[in-house]
Amino acid sequence: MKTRLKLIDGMASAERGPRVLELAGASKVFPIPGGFFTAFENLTFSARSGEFLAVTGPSGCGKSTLLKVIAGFLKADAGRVSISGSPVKGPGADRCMVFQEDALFPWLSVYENVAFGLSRRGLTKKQIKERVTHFLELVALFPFGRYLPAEISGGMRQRVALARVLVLEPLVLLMDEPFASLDMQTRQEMQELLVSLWKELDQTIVFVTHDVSEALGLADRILIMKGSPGRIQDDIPVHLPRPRPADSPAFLRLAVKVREKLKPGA
Amino acid sequence: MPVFSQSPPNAKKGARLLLPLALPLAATIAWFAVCALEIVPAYLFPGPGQVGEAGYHYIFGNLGDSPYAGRFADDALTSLGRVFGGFLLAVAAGLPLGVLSGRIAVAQELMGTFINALRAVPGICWLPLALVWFGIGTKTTIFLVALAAFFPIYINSAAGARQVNPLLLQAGAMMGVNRLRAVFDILLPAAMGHIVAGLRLGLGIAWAYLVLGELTGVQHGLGAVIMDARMLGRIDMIVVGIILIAILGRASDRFLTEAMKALFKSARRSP
Repeated sequence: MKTRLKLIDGMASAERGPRVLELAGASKVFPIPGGFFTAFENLTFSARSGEFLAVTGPSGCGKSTLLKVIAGFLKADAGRVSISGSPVKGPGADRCMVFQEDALFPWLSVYENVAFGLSRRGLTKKQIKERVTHFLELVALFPFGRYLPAEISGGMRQRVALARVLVLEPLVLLMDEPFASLDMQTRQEMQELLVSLWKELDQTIVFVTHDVSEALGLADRILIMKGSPGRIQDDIPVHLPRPRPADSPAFLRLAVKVREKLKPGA
Repeated sequence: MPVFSQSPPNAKKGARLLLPLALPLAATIAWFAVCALEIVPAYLFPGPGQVGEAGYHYIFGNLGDSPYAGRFADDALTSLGRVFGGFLLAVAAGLPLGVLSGRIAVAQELMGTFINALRAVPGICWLPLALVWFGIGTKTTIFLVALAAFFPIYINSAAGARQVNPLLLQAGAMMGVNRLRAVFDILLPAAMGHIVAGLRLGLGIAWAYLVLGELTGVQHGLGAVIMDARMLGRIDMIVVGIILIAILGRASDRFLTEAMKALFKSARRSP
């Protein structure tokens, strides 16, 4: 599977594995003073195993709420959200999130943060050490295991956040604008790292961003949402080979197309 | 590798360690000066020499040599027992109730008004009632200490628990931590800064109410010595008592913070 995907990289989305994440008619409504606010309405889409799905749209289109519903932090008010066929009932380690803000435990070292979820799985200390070490190496943080989150840079903290969920081998990795608060250069490095991890681990990813270039640079498929209430406006496959330089003609053409769709009234 | 040391270089460290002693030293010199110049008569304010001698006999003297000789160890142990007894009761009630009302709106609505009304009552008001209920002695003192120390512990634990970033709890939930484990593995560590602050305030006020409880005519304890010395006109022993309470109070505060650091990563590593 893995080798095949590498060979046909960029065109693989249609031939990917079974549907891991499925939403059917999902809606989320919040009570507000004097009525209701519908964050999104009647969303239906699915992600196949190993697929890199980006969700983009203007602020307020409900894309972050969508991630929280998939993660189980919020409950859908209508419709169905299921992971590998079973309905989502609450938060669980089969759907892990990398948040936009830093959500590491500040009293735990880098190593302990990555070991946090594993230590509840009845593994031996040695097994935990092996796995944590492996994932710290994958995100190039192995020498920093003993540092505290406050002692490392913002980019490094997001790499820890990535490692601490990847180590749990979630069925779906959810990312909520994870690189939005990083500087340009770090951001680019993180995007490259994420693509290489995605390839190596064959990880299904749902990546929320408002940045069209970021979505185009990363994903197999882009869902364009519009609000409010949030709906899926378009579902665009990205058949560009990786790596994807942001100044190539094909990239720019697609970017124009996506931005057209995002314009109000389009 | 980056270097993240925040402490000053070693050469300066020695001088820094002595810095906290500068003000006590200055106060002692001023005290010498006031007595040497006879600004205040010695029977109202004895000099450092006389107080030092009284303190020496109190701490190191043989029991029975003079009225206070050698009583320090017994008094200090009695007082420490009362302070920490009352303090532990206050922690046992204040910490869980504080965390509950910090996290659960219903608990806050239920307890908030009642506890804040109680808090408005000066602790000394409870003394007559406590004397009726518990009589003179240890029980009354522990009651007063526990009551007074409860409020800062409760309020700070509640504030700490309330201010925990909900993202941390969400992160824990997605990594498979159930709600009860989350209290111990995430909520309390994340609130540790506030909790330690509340404990320190509680322990500080515990010493204040210790002396109040012991002033009522108990046999042993540092507060009892002060009261006894007043009746016997031993101003030097009053000053000895005050200084020893200051030293023990500071030492117990230090003990508390070091113990918390030794026991909990989150106390050791709070920013």
